[in-house]
Amino acid sequence: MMRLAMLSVQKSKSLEWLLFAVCLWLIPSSSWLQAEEGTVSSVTDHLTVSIKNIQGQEIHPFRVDEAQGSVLIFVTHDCPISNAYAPEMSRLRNEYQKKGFKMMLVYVDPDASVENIKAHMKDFSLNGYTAISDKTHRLVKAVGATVTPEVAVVLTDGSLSYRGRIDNMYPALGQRRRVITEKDLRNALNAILENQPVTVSRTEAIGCYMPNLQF
Amino acid sequence: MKPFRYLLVALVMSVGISIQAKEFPVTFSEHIAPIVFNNCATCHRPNEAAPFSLMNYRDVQKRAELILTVVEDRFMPPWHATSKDFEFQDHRQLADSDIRLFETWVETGMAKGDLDKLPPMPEFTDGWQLGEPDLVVNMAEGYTLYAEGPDIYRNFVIPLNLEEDKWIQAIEFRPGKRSVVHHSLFYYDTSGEARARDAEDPIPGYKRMGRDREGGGIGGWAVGGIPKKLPEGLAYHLPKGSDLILSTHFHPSGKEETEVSTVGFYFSDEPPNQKFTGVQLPPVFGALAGVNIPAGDSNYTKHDSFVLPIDVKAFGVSSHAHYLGKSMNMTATLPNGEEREMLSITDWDFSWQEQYRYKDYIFLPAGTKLDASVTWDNSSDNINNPNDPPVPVKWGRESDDEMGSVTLQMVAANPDEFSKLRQAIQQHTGEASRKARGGRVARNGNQGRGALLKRMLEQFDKDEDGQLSPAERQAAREAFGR
Repeated sequence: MMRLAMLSVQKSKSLEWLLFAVCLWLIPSSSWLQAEEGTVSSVTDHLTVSIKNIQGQEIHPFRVDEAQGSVLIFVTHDCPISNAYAPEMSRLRNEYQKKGFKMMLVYVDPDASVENIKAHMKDFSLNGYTAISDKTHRLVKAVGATVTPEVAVVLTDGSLSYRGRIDNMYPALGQRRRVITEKDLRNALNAILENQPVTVSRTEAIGCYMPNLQF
Repeated sequence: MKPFRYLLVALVMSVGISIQAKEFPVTFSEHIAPIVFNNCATCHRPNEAAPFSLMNYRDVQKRAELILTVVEDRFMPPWHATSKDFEFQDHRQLADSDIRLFETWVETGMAKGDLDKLPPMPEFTDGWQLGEPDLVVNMAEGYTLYAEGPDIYRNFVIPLNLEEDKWIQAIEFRPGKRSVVHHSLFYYDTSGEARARDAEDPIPGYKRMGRDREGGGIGGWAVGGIPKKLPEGLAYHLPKGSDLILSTHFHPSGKEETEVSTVGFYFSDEPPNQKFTGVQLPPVFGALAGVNIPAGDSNYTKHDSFVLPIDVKAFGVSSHAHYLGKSMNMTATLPNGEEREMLSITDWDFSWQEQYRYKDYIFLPAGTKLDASVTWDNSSDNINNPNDPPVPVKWGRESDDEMGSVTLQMVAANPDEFSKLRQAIQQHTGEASRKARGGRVARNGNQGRGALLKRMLEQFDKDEDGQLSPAERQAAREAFGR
């Protein structure tokens, strides 16, 4: 890497870009790259992934089975934006679990213990959810989630039908809209229920970036 | 582990943005910890207002991209006041060089560095920051805030039962639930009106922003703010029998919380040796300025100016507006024509209302002209706009109404001349009031009454039904102050 950098310092700018392009091309395609680039369109390679829920039972979060779809909401217990959505998350579960979706909370902080998660769910009235602690970010990488809160909706065929924000309450970090005007997740779930295409299938989620794993 | 990151580093280095990274490695212990410990950990530590701690390598490495984004945006550390000419106390803005250092650290893989070089955590005082207060009071009843919904402004009345007048050097405010209390402004009330309002409202406290007529502002607290005593020899007067009013701003956190705030008073033993006052422009938080912001107007400005009758020494500045506030500034033009920037806020954020104190007294000679302007954005591009679609907004006390002003706090350079300053301020407010009433001449005739009514309607007829309801009339009476 250093050699590459030194080399390019001596070259002209256009050469650098050429070099950059070559480097990009050289990089093998892998799931982490897809995740960072946000190009994930399905989780078909991950349908068999199994992970323990916080009760310790093995579950298959991407297996939709007889359900309408799997809804994974990525959260952190100490992100104020993620927490501000707790009441809406609670309503979403009440409404859409009944309508046939598998509703899951995915806690992504590698340092959060099962006790932390249970306490958080109790505090924020999220107890009805199936909760998963994704300490190694297997699920995060599989769907390409980049912040909390962010939602991924997976269909039976493994396609990623929706990924992004819950709604537009936060236009940017530190800014909260007084009136919510776009309920993107609800729109997506309702479209799926009505066998309609999801018109807005990707949105930018605003919140706390994925915590880095420990080196 | 992350080839893409290496690639980014290579690219960044190659275009020379960050050649220094090659020359000396940026490490947590040596470069990042001093920045984080001194600027972030004040609030980002256990039992403080911030949502998570930033006290060690793992705390910072885990959230490195988030931290980088918020410091680059200057959303953190929270600080909105600037002045080209003067420095503020407890200034929390990071230097550009610190931000670049942090950026380099993230891009070069967040090295831990030599642990021996890690600086010690600054010593933070737990509990009362200014020592044991002379008087501690708290809200008699907890106020329960919902889990979600719009921000709440609420006034709480705390009887102080003082049998003699007191002089306040400082007030320290301690929220019970730091995740929901965003800021609180302090007032005193000697009329009993606030108490009566509180009694009428079935739940603790009462709605409405700002103060009542019989009393005054005695400071405030905002998240991140460090309690400060007034400059040596100055104090707020607190008449006996006063009630304390806390005008508190809450952010719901996603979880229901019950707030009981605690307040500590620090009194001075002796009356202050000199008086201080604020020049508020426009006066009465803009009540007399005819604020009437058309729906959709993204750049509505009110301006006011005042010429200092005597030499003064300024020590603090603050500004006020509600959700539509966009920017405010105050400049001082000295008699020799030189201009000084007293305050500039270009990205007004309703959430961070602070009272800024200059590092040193600023001498402003007699004849200095203070110019202040406040700009509002009532378009739908203003994400804080409480109305969708926007509606016309006038001056008023509710949070969906607007106010706007900039206040410069000062003492007379020669204390004997203080009364001249106070008179000039009263005169200025009086003129604004007369202008708002439609002019001195017109006031006496029938035509004048008509003009007055017309102006009152323009300003206070919120529901625009062509007449003033009792509530609108009350607001008008309060605004005109008599």
